Parts: sequence; C-alpha cells; structure tokens
Amino acid sequence: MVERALLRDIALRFEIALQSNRGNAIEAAGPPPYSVGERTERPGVSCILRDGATRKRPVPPVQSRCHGVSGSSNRSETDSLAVELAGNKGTQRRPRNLICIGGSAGALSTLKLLLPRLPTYAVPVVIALHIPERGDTQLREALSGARQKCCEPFDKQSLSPGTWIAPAGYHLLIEEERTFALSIEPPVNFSRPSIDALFESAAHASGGNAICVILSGSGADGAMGALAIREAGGTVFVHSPQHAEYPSMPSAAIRLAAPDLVADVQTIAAAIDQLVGVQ
Amino acid sequence: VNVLLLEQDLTTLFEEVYLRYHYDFRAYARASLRRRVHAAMVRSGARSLADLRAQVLASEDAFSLLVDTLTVRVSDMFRDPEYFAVFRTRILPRLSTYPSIRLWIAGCSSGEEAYSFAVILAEAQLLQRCQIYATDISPAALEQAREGSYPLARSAAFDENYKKSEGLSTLRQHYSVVGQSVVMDPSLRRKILFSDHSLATDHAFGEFQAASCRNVLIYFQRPLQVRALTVLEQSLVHRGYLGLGSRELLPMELQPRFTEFSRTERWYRYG
Repeated sequence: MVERALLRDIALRFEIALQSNRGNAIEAAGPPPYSVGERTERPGVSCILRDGATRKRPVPPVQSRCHGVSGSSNRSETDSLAVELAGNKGTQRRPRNLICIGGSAGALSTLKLLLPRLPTYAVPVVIALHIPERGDTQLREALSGARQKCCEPFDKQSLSPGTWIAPAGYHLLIEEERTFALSIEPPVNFSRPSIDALFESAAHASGGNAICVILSGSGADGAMGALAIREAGGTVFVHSPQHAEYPSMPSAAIRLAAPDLVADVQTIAAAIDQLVGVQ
Repeated sequence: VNVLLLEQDLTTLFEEVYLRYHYDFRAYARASLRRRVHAAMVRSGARSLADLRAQVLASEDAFSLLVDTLTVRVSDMFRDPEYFAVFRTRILPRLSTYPSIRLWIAGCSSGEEAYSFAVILAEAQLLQRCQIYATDISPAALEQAREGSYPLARSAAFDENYKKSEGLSTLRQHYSVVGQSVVMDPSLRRKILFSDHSLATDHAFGEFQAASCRNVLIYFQRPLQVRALTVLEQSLVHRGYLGLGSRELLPMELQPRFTEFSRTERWYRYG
C-alpha cells in the first residue's frame, strides 16, 4: 500500500489540472491515437493508475500534492488520496535495489528520453533490448550518450550501480548473489536477449525490491517477466500504449501483469525517482 | 508453467542425480539452470519438481531427456567471427611451428565450433598434422556432432559468419548439401575426435597447444568455473593458448597464471 500511495502521489503531482481537463481525460482514455511509425509523444501528460482512472494535464509544472486543487468536481477523490498519503508518512519504504527495463521496436528513442531523466542512482539499471544479433555497438553508443556510460556486463560480473545492457546474442540474467549471468539458451519469444528471461531472474534475485519498465515493442516479450516481478512483490511500470511507437508489448504487459503505473516517459521517470531517488 | 522452484528442491534433485548417474549439475549457476529445469518439466510433462525427480531416478530415458534439456545446445559455425579471425591470423602462425598440433574444444555441443576450427586448419594446410579433441557431457549432442550434419536453413548464417571470420574462400567448399541438410566434409570429420568429458567431474586427459572453451563456463558457479579452468590449464603446453570468448573473464585467482593475448576476444596464453 505504501507504494500505491507514492504512485498516486506522483500521478497527482503530474495532473493537478485534471479537474479542468476532465474532458481531455475521457478523450485520452478513448481509442489510442497511435499509428505505426508515427510518434505520438504529446505535449500533455496522461497516466493510468492501476485502478483504471485516466488523467491528463497540459504542461507539467510540479506542484505539491493535492493543495491547490480547489473547486473541483472530484474533490473527494483527491482528498482521500491526501489522507492516504498522510497516513503513510514515515512508513518504512522498501529498499529498491534493481531497475530493469525491456523494450523492442521503437524503444530506443524512448530510452534516450528516459535515461537522462533518471539521476545517477546507487541502483543498477539493467536493460534488455531486442536488437539484431550482431552490430550493436551503435546502440551502446546511442545510449551511452544518453546517460552515464552504458556497459555490456561480462559473465559473473557483480551487479554494481551503473547502466548495463544485455550483449547481443545472449540472455542476460541476474543471480541471487547479485552477479550477472549470461546464457545462450535458445531465444525466448523469438528473442535473445529476452526480456522475460531478464525479468524472471530479477524477480527471483531481487524479489519485491525490483522495479521493471516495459517500453515500446511488437510482440509480447516481457509480459510474463513483469508478472513474475509483480508476483514477487516488485513494481511494474509500463509505457502507455498511446505513447509507445509500437504498442503491442506494453499492451501485453498491461493485460497480464496489472502494472502499478501506465504512463508516459516523464511520469515513469518521476515515479522511479520517487521510489529510488531519496533512499 | 510458473512453478516456484525452491533452492532446496533443486539441490536435492541434483544431489540424487549425481549419486545415481554421476552427472554433476550441483554447482551450475542457478538463474539459467532454473529456466532449463522448468523447460525439462514442460518437456517431460512433470507437474512438480518432485514428479520430475521421480521420473528421472526411475528411468534412464527420462534422465537422458533431462541432460539433453539442461545442456544448452545452441551454437553456430564461426559464432562470433572475430574470435576465429584472431585464431586464424594471430595464433595459427605460431601454432604452425609445432610438428603436430593438438586442439581441444571443451564443451563442443553439437560440433559447430570444432568444425569451424577444422576448416581454418584445413585452409592453412595444417589439418593433416593436427588432431582436434572435442568433448561434451551430452550424448545426444555428441551424436549430432559426429554426424556433422546441420539443417540447410542454418547454412546462410554459417556462410555469413565464415566470411566475417576472414575466411579464405567459401564455406561451401567444406560441406555438401544432402536433402535438407548440410554435411561437413569427411576429411574434416576424420580429424576430430568427439568424446565424452565433463569439466565438472573429469580431469586433464592430454596436452594441447590450444584449447577453446566458450559458452560453457557461463553455466557454472564461480568455484566450478575455477575447477574447470584448472583442468584446462593442466591440459595446456607452456605458452599454450586458451580461448574463452568475448563475454567471459578469467577469474581473479587464475589470472596470475595466464597472460592476455587478445583482449577483446579473450584469448589467453598459459604461463
């Protein structure tokens, strides 16, 4: 419940204007406005909480919690959230020790937006992207520019803070003793690295302390893994199908894993920051 | 299937397998092993780990199926072409000074890597004074390796890798197409001895100028890696070559005994 409250908090900070934009919210919840190949990162920010509520606000001036929301039609809802948040103040938070991110087609551009928004945490960020088996240096370079150096781990290397990306042609797994393991088992969901393989091992190794993020992609890789993380008590974030270039992977994860948050990149970055940034 | 595999139950399974069949999976790295035990359960229709254990201990066929699932059989001819390019251009000129060349492919799976080395040696006119030992623990994989026959559909990838490995002509020269398969040239097969050997339980069995052990140690926990590498070390002549491939590092405790030969492709020299 603590996490739920935090997520609500984040969602609220980002859609203070939801009352005045009620119409937009409904519109945003309608048929997804994407089409293949067209980027639809909109100026507005919308997010869906697990309870199904969709909210949207135009530009993100970060304001404090629920204060300042007045004269709204759903005052009671925000009030109850405020109460819930207040009730959770001072509660012990789970120490997050792993962030894993999975994506496929269309995810690279999203990652380039997401990574710079993540402060340099003392928590490792581990990425599995579907990429052609060979010729991935470009990818590493593209991502290295986006944040701190992005490395491909060696087998049995210890899981230290930083940004790690699965080497092409290998599954990347996390061992319980917090080391990386590589494997050339057959492709899972036609993919090696497979996001499911990474997430499932993370669920086992990190249990409820893992956060996973599913980004754009075709197919359904990552959904089972996200479910495993969720069942282990971890947190699941999904890039909203409305914003993702290829919505099929996010949609599959939403169907299967009941994510904690479905939102655009900015909101997901803020949510990660909330859960990890201050620990 | 999403069955929780408890560490304790895995330990029990592999202790019993070791006692009954002398196959030692006890010190295998867990993350990947769990996935493959899952796969084995699906494949054999076992409803639980206890069920799988009962099947495996009751029947050797069930055990063979388990070994086949646990030993990862994925390989390509000239997988990671740069690795072979280093061998071809930098190591082979030195090996050619030996009167006879002995090469060990440890964990050869279905044989693709062994044939790749044989092709390189043949093109350097060295195959005649060379003997390649290729070992694995999986009887099914060794069987396939001895046949030297691979699905035709894979040959395009083989050819492409070969080119990238700085191959001297075309790989097509070294196999013939039979139906829907490519069959490696018998002259290559004659020079490779495929045999059963476990890096987990067996010892050094010969002296080699070079050994290649890729995508095998990644399935071992650290102490077993050290054990396996010690066997490899004991099998090498002084200044012999050891190839681990680009993603595997020599554990700290073994580093003083080796010098790095190719940093990117992880070829080392002993001594």
